[in-house]
Amino acid sequence: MNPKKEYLTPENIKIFKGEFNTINVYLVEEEILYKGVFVVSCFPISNPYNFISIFYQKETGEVEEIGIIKDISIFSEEEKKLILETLNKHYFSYEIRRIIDIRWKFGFLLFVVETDKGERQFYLKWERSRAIEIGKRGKILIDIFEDRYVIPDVQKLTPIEKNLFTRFIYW
Amino acid sequence: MEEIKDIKLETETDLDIFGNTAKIKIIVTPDKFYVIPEQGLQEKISFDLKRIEGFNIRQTVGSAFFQIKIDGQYIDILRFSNANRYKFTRLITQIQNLKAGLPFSNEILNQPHPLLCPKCGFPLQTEGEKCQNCLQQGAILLRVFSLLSEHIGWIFIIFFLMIIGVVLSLVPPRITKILVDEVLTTKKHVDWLPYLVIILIASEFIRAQINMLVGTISTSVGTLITNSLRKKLFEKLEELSLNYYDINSIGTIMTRFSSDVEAFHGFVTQAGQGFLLNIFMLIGIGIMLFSINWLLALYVMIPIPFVIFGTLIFWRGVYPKYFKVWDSQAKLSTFLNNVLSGIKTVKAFSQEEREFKRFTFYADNLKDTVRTVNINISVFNPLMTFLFGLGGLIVWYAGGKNVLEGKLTLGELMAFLSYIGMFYTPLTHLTLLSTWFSNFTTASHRIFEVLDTEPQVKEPKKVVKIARLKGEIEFKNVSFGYDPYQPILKNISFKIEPGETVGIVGKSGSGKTTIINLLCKFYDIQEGEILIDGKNIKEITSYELRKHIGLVLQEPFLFRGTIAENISYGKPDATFEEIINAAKIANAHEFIMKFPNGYDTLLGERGAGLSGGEKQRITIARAILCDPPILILDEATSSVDTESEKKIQDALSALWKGRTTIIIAHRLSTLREADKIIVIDNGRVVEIGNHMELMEKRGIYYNLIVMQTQLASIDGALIK
Repeated sequence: MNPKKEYLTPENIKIFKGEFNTINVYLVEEEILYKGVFVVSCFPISNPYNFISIFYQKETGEVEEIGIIKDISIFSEEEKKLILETLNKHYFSYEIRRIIDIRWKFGFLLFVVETDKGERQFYLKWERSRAIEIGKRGKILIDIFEDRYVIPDVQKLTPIEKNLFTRFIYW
Repeated sequence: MEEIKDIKLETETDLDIFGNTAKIKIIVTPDKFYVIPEQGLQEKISFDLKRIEGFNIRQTVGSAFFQIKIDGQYIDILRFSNANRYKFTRLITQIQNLKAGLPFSNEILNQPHPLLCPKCGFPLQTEGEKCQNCLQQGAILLRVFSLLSEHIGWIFIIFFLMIIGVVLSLVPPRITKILVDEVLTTKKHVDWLPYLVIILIASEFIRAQINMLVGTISTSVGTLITNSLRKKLFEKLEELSLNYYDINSIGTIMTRFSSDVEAFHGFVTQAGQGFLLNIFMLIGIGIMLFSINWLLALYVMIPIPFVIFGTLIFWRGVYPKYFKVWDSQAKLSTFLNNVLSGIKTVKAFSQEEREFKRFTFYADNLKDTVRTVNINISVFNPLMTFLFGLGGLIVWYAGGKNVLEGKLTLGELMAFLSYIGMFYTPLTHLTLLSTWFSNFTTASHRIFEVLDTEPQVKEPKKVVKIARLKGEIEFKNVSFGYDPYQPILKNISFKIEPGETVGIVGKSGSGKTTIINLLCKFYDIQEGEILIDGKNIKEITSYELRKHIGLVLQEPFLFRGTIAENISYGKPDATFEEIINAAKIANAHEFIMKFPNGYDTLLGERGAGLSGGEKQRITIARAILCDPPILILDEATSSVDTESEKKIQDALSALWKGRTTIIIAHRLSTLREADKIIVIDNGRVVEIGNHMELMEKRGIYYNLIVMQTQLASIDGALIK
């Protein structure tokens, strides 16, 4: 990260669309163009849309931070949209809308769920580290392949679903 | 759509680049790379294979991108869920092979995921492990019984004694019947009274003796099994490679040792005193009840469905609540452990109030969960007592009527009522049999899972004894990654001559320690070979290899025991003289002698009571004592103060004379005298030479030296 720059602002960077759905960043003062950058949130759970770090990938494949956007709202609508689109690309999960069934077998839980991307089945290792809290009442379930399934609010599950869920994920 | 000819590789992904569920085909021909969406919002694209400079997988949170490098820039062209990561890692290798004219395979892309059982698709705990689903329940039980087979004689004795115990427990009600009918009411055989009482006393006394015996034998057999299982587990854990410990937390392994092994103990105890006993009791009492009066016996059966149903409903509801109690207890003890270990920090930052609030939260949580369970039990138990009583009340009514009508004697009624009292309790226990059994088989699975795990590092079948190594080391095109998808070492090669002192330098995460891990055979390499004295280390057992390697790590690890025991850890038969000599060379003797008990000073957990530098000097003495031909120092001085470092440096320079020494050092000044310095960057060897040669080269090593010199001069200026 450039130590001179405290944060990236519309004054010191320009963000625009590049080839193949990528975004490019131009550092105004340094006159450097970074192609195909990607962005990562510093606080993806507690403050996902502020303190957004911009990275670029070197020719060697290594990544390096260009800088941090403290406040996204000060950017133009177009730039904001590009940043958010790229940010969302960095995070992928299935949002669980309904729990159809949970079955235990030999230390694994087989979940049958309805998600925002359709009905899915996945195996979860029945371990505390595989079902972690998100926010005050949500849970992220990380399946055997490291795919992520989010229940935004466990309390909002129906009593039957909640009973089934907390029977196994009781922590 | 143009027809694609000469397809060499073909697969598909499950997401489009925007993260929508999609079906996108990837086709590779000798000249082109195609991305053809069948669903989703992505557009069809194709690239000339010649134009693609490289491939990469960029892992993000929950998914990953397949990248191609064009004009020096990596571009995300495909996206896939983590379930497909394995496939795309294989795809890169296959395309690279295709481009290089090497053999490639399309089948390999669509092989099942290595984390799934190829037979049934059930997940495996780790790659290559036996599928728990394919190991049938019967097979598990057979294995359990094979463990019990060593004690089969005792098990038969328990079985035999149990039957006698059950028969004896059926005697008192029978005697009561005779007592009432023949002695107390009809007074036909008044003289029988003392004999009947003696029989009652004798049967109770023998039953008590038998129960004591069954209890003692089953507990002894249980503890014997537990003990031999623990030994087997520990032996296995010592045999397993370090990657097993990377995957499984120490907490999980400890659980195998404690609760899972105890489940075996529970099995014998339960089998001896629990369910088998209950089955015999039920059968015995049933026979007695029907032999006295079949109709009355049928009345007794009326509450049975309610008892079974009630017990099942209760346990289905309450059992998960027990999990919550255990969870609350674990959270509270973890919290206490954490805070009390860091109490100095808590006090230093005046956070007592905040920690108290957090404690209150965990303590209240435990209180609530315990209360819920106890309330449930408080409701359940009286309800069950009522149901049991109901059976008695029916018998009182119907049996009483029979007595009044002369169809049943009073003695028979009394005996009947006694048997009923013994009838329902075994029934509730047997209702919970399935819960207990499933817990037991789960625990067994977990234990067998460890016992069946194959070490990642494969040992040669033939053990070759090595008298003494010369210390020549060669890495030939070695590639390795802890996660095979992300190689840490990429095709590295170098040679170290016997007796040379070699420094390995590079940034954090460049792969320095990985080189050491491979050399010590803590992990098996994935590509290439490592030769020691010209012999591939795959042909040498880990045990034999490590006997010739002395390792001093950054974090000195000392065991609970005396200083002398810690120094002689690698050579338990070392003489007192050898221990003192090693400590003197390691500059440790002086401080050891300041302790009242000298070398017999007992060290606490992880060497508590010693400073970082002192601990490190003991580990150096440990390495000196073994006199290894190859010595490895992995950041041995980076965590100690300057004065300690000086003493350790002096100790080390005495140590590396006459042996091959590999030093990973943070402070590069320590490597000036090294015969050779290997510079690692991003998993590759980028420079090799001595200090002067590398300084003249003005490459990465030169830059690191300049950076450290500048930092030292800033430090100097600050001191001035």
